[in-house]
Amino acid sequence: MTHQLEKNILKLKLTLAGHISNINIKHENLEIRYVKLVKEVDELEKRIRDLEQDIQTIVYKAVKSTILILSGGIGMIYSFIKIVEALNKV
Amino acid sequence: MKSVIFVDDENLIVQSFKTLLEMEDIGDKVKIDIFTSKSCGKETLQWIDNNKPDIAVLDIILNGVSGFDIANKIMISYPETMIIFLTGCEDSSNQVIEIKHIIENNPDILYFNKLDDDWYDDIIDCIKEQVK
Repeated sequence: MTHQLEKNILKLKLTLAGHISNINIKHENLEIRYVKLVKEVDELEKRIRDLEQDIQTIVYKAVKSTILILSGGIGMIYSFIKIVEALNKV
Repeated sequence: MKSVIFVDDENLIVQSFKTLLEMEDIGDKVKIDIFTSKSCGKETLQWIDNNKPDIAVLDIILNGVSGFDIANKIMISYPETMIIFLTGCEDSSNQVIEIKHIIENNPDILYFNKLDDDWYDDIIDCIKEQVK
């Protein structure tokens, strides 16, 4: 192999290695981003579960409050009817 | 005889560059030591404690110790040593921004990018200038 040919091959190797280096860096950066994204997705899933739990609690409380209000209203109407009946007898 | 150290965690780069430099007409006026392994950053710091390099070609992303750490040690211990940063990162990367920031304060430091054409020739030209 001639001296110049050997030099040219080395230069080609260095050019190639430079680009491989860049690809390796990009690959490492992508891996870091992937790990970060997986962690973020885990945190979001946990927040969604907590929100679902909060919504269930709120709905339960709302239904309970509505039932209490309705039963209170019915009680009042019943009492009013009884009062009217008593007054009619008088 | 000028002493050159070349630190890069990619074996293909340091071996090819060493051979290329030795094939140049200044090959007999330059002694090149290469560091390429998983712990090449730490090895280099120890080596610098025992040797005084005239020129240091430093990759930035290494394991454990970065090229910036090595450059910092050289700037403090051997301010006359020529530092050449070499990276495969793109111009928009944090590493290149950091290099440019360091060069603003230390204009004698040189920087070459492995993505540029003929970066190895540019470094060899710099070494030739120092040997003259």
